Amino acid sequence: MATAVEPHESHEDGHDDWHHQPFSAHHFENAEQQFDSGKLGMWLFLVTEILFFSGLFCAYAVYRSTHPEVFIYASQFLDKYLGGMNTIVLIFSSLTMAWAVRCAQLGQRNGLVTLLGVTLFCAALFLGVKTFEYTEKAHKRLLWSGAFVKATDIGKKSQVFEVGKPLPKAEFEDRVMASLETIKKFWWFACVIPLVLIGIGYGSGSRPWRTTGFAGLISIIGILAGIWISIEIHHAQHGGDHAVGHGDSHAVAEHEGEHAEDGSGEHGHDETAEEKEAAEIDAEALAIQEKTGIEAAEAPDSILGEMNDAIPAISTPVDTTPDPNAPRNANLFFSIYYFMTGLHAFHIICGMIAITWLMVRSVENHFRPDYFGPVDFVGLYWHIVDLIWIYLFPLLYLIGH
Amino acid sequence: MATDVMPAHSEPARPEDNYLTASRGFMSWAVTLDHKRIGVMYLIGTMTAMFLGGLLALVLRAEHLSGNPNTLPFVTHDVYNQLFTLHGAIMVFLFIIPSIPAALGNFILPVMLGAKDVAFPRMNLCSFYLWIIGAIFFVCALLTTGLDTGWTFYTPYSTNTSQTNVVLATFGAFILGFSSIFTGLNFIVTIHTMRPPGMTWFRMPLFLWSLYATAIIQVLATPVLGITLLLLAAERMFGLGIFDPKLGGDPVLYQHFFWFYSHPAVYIMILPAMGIISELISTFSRKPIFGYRFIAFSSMAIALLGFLVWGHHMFTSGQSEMVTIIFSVLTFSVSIPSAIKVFNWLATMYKGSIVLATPMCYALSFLFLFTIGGLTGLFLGALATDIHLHDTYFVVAHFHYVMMGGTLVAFIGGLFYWWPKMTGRMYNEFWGQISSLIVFVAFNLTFFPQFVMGSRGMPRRYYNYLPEFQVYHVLSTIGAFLLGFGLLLAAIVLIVSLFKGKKAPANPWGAATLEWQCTSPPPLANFEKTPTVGNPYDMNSVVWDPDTESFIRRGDVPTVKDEATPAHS
Repeated sequence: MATAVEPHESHEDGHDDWHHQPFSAHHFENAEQQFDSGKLGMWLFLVTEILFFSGLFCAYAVYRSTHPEVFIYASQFLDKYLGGMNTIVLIFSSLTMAWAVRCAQLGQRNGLVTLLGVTLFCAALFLGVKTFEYTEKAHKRLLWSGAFVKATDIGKKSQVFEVGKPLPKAEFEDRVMASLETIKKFWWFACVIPLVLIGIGYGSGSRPWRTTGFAGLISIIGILAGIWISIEIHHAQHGGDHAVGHGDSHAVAEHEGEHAEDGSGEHGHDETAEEKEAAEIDAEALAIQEKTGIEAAEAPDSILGEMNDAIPAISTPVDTTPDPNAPRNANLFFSIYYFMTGLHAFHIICGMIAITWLMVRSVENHFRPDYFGPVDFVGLYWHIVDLIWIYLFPLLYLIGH
Repeated sequence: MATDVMPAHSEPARPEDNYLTASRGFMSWAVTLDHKRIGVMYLIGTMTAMFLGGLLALVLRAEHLSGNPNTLPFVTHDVYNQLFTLHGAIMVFLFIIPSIPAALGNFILPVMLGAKDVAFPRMNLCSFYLWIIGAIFFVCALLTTGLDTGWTFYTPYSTNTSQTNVVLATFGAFILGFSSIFTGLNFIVTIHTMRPPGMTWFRMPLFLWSLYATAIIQVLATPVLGITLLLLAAERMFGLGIFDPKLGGDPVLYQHFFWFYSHPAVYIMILPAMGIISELISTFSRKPIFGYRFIAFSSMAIALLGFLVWGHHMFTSGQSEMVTIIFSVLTFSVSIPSAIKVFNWLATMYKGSIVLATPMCYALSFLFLFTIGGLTGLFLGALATDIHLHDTYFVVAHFHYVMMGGTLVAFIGGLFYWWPKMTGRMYNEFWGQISSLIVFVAFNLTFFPQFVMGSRGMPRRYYNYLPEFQVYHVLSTIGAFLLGFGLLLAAIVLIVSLFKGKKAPANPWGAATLEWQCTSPPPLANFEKTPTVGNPYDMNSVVWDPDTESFIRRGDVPTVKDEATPAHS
């Protein structure tokens, strides 16, 4: 931002010292003006970011009020433990980012680089968890509304993405496991690019390349760690420490218990209908639990296959076992879920690129107590990305309980 | 304070150097960070877009020359849909929105403010390239399948039915939105942090106030358009369901989102035009602007009220009656700050020594046309009459009076006004005046009949019509071609001046704002001598100097008093 340097100018106005510093932009009068401009610019950019997301929050509010049953029903398929962990990770990364800004202000280069690295790692961890969540949901066919509709049925010529008919249960399971196994097998492959960068960096003696490589390595390890932790949390939650755990029973039982003690219902409008509906869902789930519980005892079934039984028709009106209790258009929730979290994840990726850029510059020792604007500005950006997640988490994950 | 000086600037290497000659070669323009060059590039770009959009408009009008649908054999009803869509989309997104802020504003804002550049020169260049990329997307849509949704991209037609390349066009508009945001953000920061000593908020020329108000709208409204267009693209590509009633969504929500941006965008188009008019009227009446603070605050009021009236585009969409009444009342309230401006301009001219130079001719056209456009807006804001006039040619005439008669005419006036500053050449005054006369007459000939046929029930966007409307359509088409000729004449006058024009003096018009204190064209760093920040509308501070054929400052010491208020005191 605003660091255009045109060093050919001469100045007789007493600002020579400042104007000859490497990152002074020629069209500003002094460092303070440059910093203030950058800061105001960043705040304005954050305003545009908030308005950018505001459309989505607005859509959320509209559909939450017009289709409350969809949100209450569908939100239970999100894993609040994974979401909660991501929230903690992001809040922690905001702390490290703020601390990094402080280090930049105090001129503590090593602290700055380390804290930026930690922030980057947290961001990657977040993405890893999100990767798991998306993969798991995609395999369970918890997708947006149009994914199961043939484009021609809604009057379109074509659509980029159509799932068509759901796959048989066993094939779901195969796919989930296959993708996870692929990651397990080839995780090292993802490290090749950053390692090559590091190699180039050492080979050519170029510190920026090396730093970029290390930042990439941190990101990839973070993502892998995120996926691994998610798998563990998922298994722990759904009972069974064996790799392919089964028994959604725990989750379902918990679900039922909550409803039992929460009889009055948190959701003001249409209470009785909701309660009734919830009771029906629970009854249904229990029945399935009993049924599959026996099956599972005999032949260990995958959690995913089993959950597919327990959550049959949300995504697929043509599924073999439709859930009679699923409200109409239940996938509208996932439309909003994917769009909001996807856009947020895109902002996380942009933030990771910006943090990598900061790391390169701080290793080069660009930042000093009288020039730390970029760290401050990226920090502000990072906080807004966190803040948006802090709103997304309860709105998406915590409403159904 | 008036004698406060800007800190010294670097002198260019040679005194005859200006921003145009300081460096040469394609790359010196392609990667320039100089706001003046970026402004000139924007000018060329937006003019090209206007030419393209104008050609499409002429084809549209030619199709209506006879009541026979085959007036032009290649214009079938589908082609007609594509023509008006691309005419609208190109004119709105590629021309009107960036024209005054990004082309003239980029050039003038820092010089008027007394700054060396905008706050973020690289972001400024980035904004220009985003504009280019957005334009390429539009051209691709044009060359592949066209686009037939109307510039508003209404769902569900745009998501489900249209067979044209809607996604390409929405991405184009999305990218152009970011171009607009970057310009607006740059202007806000520049005006906040880069005012030189002595340039207080109320010593800013009114053009800067209007650009500031515009920039606020650009920064606050455009992101909403961005997300709306992303949702639209996702809806079309993946079937997101948010705007599709078959999947549980609501197409009217799209209209709300769209107009939440696009109504304020109307003020992105008109506010900077009002700023130009404030400058022109004051300069060519040789009088300080009347009611400076009222004009400044009315710009801000329009910017704020503009966010609260989007529902008046949807009176017939089935929204609740209470909501329509509220939107109607708010719509009427926007006319108050607009009227304040018009009355202040009239009061400025009262007892002034009016000079009918070309820019002033355009400014007077603006006053006439904008007033008609504004007043007919009230017909549409009134609930009862809107039901009758909704989606008729009355609406078309109304917004052309505001956007073309208002924004375009003010833009050309501003272009004539600052042309000597931008290029260093004077144009032929006589032919300039003739062009303004033709534009004024032809404009009314084109669009006034549309009010008449609209009020008699001629719907907009139809490629055919009943015989009783033929006389109006023929008048309108003749007017449109005349209007095209007038605009072409204006372009020729300007282009000829580049080769045959006299060298422009620093201050040919006798204006007191800062941009006339530097040479024409300005040096690379804008000012060779430190400009003196004074009252921007103190016309007595400059006198005609027959030797240089230019206005010069009266004596070395400015005559403005310390506490001089910039208004009519």
